[in-house]
Amino acid sequence: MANTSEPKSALPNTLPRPEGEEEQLLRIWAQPAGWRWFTAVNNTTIGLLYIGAAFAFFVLAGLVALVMRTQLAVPENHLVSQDLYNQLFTMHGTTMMFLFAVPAMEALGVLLLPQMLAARDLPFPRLSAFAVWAYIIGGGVFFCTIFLDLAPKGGWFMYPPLTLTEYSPGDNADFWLLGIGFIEISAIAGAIEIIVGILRTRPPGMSLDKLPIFAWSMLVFAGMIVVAFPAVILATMYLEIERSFGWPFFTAAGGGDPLLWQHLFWFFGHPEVYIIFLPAAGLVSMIVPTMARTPLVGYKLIVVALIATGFFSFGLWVHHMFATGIPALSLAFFSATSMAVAVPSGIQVFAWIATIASAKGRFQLNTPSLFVLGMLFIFTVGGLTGVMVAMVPFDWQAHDTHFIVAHLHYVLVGGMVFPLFATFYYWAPMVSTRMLSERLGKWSFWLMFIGFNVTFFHMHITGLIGMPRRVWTYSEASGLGPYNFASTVGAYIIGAGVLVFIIDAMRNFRVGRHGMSNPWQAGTLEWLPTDVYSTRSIPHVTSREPLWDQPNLSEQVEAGEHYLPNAPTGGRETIVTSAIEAKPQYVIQMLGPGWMHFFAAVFTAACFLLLTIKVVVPALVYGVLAIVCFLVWAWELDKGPAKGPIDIGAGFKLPVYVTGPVGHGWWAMVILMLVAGSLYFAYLFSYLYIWTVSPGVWPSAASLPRLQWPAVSALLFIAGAAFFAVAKGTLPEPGEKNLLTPLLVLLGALLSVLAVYMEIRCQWQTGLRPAESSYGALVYMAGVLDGQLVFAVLIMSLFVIARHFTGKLDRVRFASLENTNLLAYYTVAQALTGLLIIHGFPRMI
Amino acid sequence: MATSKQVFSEKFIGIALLALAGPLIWVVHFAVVYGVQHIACVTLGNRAEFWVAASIIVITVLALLALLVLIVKPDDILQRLDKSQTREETTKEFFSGIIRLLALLSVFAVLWSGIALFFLPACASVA
Repeated sequence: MANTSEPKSALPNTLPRPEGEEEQLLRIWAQPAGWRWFTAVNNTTIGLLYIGAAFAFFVLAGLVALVMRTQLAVPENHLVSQDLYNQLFTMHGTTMMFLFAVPAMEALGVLLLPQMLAARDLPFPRLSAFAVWAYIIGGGVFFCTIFLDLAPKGGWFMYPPLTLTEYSPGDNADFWLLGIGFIEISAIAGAIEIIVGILRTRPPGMSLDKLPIFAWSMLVFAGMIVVAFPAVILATMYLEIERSFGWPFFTAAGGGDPLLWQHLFWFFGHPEVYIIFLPAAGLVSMIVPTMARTPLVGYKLIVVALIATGFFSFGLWVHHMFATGIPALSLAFFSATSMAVAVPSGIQVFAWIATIASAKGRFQLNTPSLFVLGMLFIFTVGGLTGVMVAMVPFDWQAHDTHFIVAHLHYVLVGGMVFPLFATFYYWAPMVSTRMLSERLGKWSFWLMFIGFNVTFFHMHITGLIGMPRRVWTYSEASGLGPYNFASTVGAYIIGAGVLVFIIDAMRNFRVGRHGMSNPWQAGTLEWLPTDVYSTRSIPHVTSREPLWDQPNLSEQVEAGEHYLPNAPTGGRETIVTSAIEAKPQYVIQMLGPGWMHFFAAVFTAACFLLLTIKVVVPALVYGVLAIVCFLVWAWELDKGPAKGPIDIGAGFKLPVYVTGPVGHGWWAMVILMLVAGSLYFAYLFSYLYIWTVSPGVWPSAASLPRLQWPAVSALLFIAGAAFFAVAKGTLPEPGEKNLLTPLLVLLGALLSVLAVYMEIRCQWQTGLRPAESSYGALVYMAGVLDGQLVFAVLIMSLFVIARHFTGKLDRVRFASLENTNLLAYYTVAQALTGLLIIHGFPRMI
Repeated sequence: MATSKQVFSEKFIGIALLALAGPLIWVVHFAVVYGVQHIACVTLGNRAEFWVAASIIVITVLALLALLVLIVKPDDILQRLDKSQTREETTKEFFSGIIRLLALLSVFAVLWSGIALFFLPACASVA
C-alpha cells in the first residue's frame, strides 16, 4: 500500500479525465424526486430544509411576540387573557431559544460546512437528516399546543415549584419537558455530526491553522452543546419524573430543592447564549474580510477568543441566580467570570473593527455589511449592559425587570439575528440561482434596525423605573403606558422588516446551481463551483483564503484536477483527513437516501409525544419501531473494506475502511460518551448539591445495604466488560464464524443487566423508596441512568451478534463490535463511579 | 487490523488537551474554589472561614503557577508531547500561540475569582 502521508506528485493533475466520470457523480449524488424527496440526505437539501424550518419558527415566535406587544401597548388591556399571556411568553421564549436559535445555527453548519471544507457531505448524512425531521415533527407538534390551550405556562426556563404538578396540573408543562428534551437529543445528534465533520472531513492541506473561522466557531458551538445540553436533559428528566411519579427532586418537604433546577437549567442556559452567539460571530468573521477585501485581522486571537468564550461561559450560570440568597463569595466567583468572558467577546469585536479599518475605505457597504454593522452596535450595547448585570448589586435592582428583557434582546438579536440576516444575503447566491435584492435588503435592514431600537432601547428605562417582566398588564397610574406603546410600535416595525425580507426571498430566492460564481469575490472554498456532488474534485489547500491565494483553483477543481474527481467505490464517498494537519487517511463510504432515518424520527417523535399525554402502551410500541428503524439504518453503515484501497489522485492510495481511533465512527462514539459523561457529571453534582441542602434525609451507615451487594454489582460490571474485551480477540477470519464471539458478547451484556438489577434490588430490600425523599430519588436515579446505558449496550450487542451470524463481523470488519465495546466500557466506568458514591459517600459523612 | 495501522495518525487528543490546558486549569480552579467554599460553609460552621481562605489561596497560587509555565514555555511542552518532525512550522507556531494566549486569558479569570476572597466573607450572604 502507498504511503498515505505525503503526495507523490504535485497537483493539479492536468491529464484528461475519463469519459462519463462526472455523469457517474451526478447519478450517485442525484436528489430523490417526488415523494422520495423525504429520503434525501444531501447536505444542501437538508440544510435548506433545516434553515427554512428554523426561520418558520422564528416568524411564528415573532407573531406570538406581536400579540404580546399588542396586549402591552396600553395599560389595563384585555386583548388576551392572563392565562393565554402566560402561554404566549413561554412559547415565545421557548420557540426562539430551542426551535429557532440553536437549530438555525446547526442548519447553517449542515448547509455551509461541507461547502467550506470542500467535502462531498458531512460524515453521517442520515444523522443530519434524522435530526432535522425529529426537530420539525417534534417542534411542529410542540408549537401547535398554543392553539389547543395546551402550551406550557412556566416561562421558557420553567422554574419549579411553579411547574410541579400541584401548581401546574394538566399536560402543558409535560409538553415542554418531553418536547424540549426530545429536540435537545436532535441538537446533540447534529453536534456530533458537526464535530466529526469539521475535524475529519477537511480537504487535504487545511490544517487547523487554516480552518475557516466559521468552522472554528461551529466546533466550539458543537463542543458546548455536548457539555451543556445533558444538564438540561437531566433536569427535564428529574422534573418529568417528579411530575409523573412523585420523586421529590425539587420539593423541599421531601428534601429536594427548587434551586437544583436553576443550577442545572442555567448550567445549560447561560452557555446557550454563547452557543447561539459564537456561530453568528463566526459568520461575521467570514463576511467582514470579504467585504473589506483583506484577510481577517487577528485570526489566531479570534480562535483563542472563541475557545475562551466557550469555556468561560460555563462559569456564569449563577449569574442568573444572584437574587436567590447564595453566599456573597459564591456570587463573586460567578460575577468574576461574567466579567472575564467580556474580554474574549471584546477581542472579536475589536478584530472586526480592525479588519474594517484595514480596508482603508474599500469596505463595501451592502446589505450583508449593513446587518453586520447593525450587529456590532446592538451586540455591543447588549454586552455593556451584560457587564452591568454581572455586578451583583446592580443585578438585584434590575432582576426580573424590563431592563433584563432589553439586555437579553440586545445580546441575542444583536448577537444572532442580525448576523443571520447578513448570512441570508451573503450566502444566498451559494444555493440560489439569483441574489437577493439589495434594495429590499436595505429596506429590511433599516426597518429592523430602527424597529429594534425603538422596541428595546427604552425598555432599559422602563425596567429601571419598575416595570417587571412577564406581567400580563399594568396600571395606568404607573406611567408606563407611553413607553410600552412605543415598544409596540417598534415591534411592528421589526415585523415589517422581516416581512420585506420574506417578500424578497419569495421574489428572488430560487434553489438551484449554476448561478453566479463567487459574486462577492470571497476567498473561502464554499464559493468554488459546485453541483449535487459538491465540488467536482476536492482541492489541496495551502492557505486560509485559497481562492485569493491559489490562482485558478476554481477552474482546476471544476476540471477534476484535484483529489477524488470520481467515485471509485461506485457510491457516495468523501476523504477523511487527520484532525490536526488534514493529511489524507481514508475514504468514507457514505449512505445515500433512505427511509429509515425518516421513520426513526417519526416514531421517536410519536413515542415522546404519546408519553407526554400518558398514552403509554402505544408510546412503547412506537419506541420499539424507532429502535428497529435505527438498527436497519445502522445495518448499512459498516460497508467493509472490499472496495479499497482506492486512488484519490496525487499518489494517494487510501483504504475505504478503518477501525480504531482513526475511524470516524470511533470519534462519534467517543463524543457520545462525552455526552453521557456530562449528563452523569450533572447527576453527581445534583447528588452532592442536594446533600448540602438536606443532609437530614441521608441515611445512617446502618440503614445502607451491606457492602457485599455493591461489591457483587461491581464485579458483575467488571466481568461484563472483560467479556466484551475478550470477545474482540475471538473474532474469526473473514468468511468464518466463531460461536465464542456472540456468546461472550451476550454474556457481557447480560452481566451488566444483572449488575443493575442487583443494585436496584439491594436498595429496595432496605426499604428505601424513590418517592419518600430526595435521597431515595437520587439513588434510584443512578439506576435509571445506568439502566438506560445498559439497555443500549444490550441492543447493540444483539445487533453485533446478528452481524456475526450474517457474516458481517470478523477480524477485519468489526467496527460495530468496537463501538459496542466502547459504550460497554464507558457504562462500567459510570456504574462503578455511581456505586462508589452511593455506597461510599453516606458512610463517609 | 492491517489497513488501519498503515493510515497516517497523529496525537490529536494529547495536543488538543495541551492547547486547551489554560482554560482547563481555569475549570479545575473554578470547580475547586466553588465546591470547597460551598461544602465547607455547609459542613464546617465557624471553622469554614479559615479553610475556605486557605484552600482558595493555595489553589489560586497553584493555578497561576501552572498557567505561568504555559505562557512562558509553550514550545517546550508542545515539543515534549509531539515529536513529529513532519508537522509544518506554521501549525506548530499556531498551537504555541493558542496555548500561550488561552493561558493568558485564563490568568485573568483565575485571578479575578481568587482575589474575591480578600473582599468578601467566606460564607455569609449579603442579600
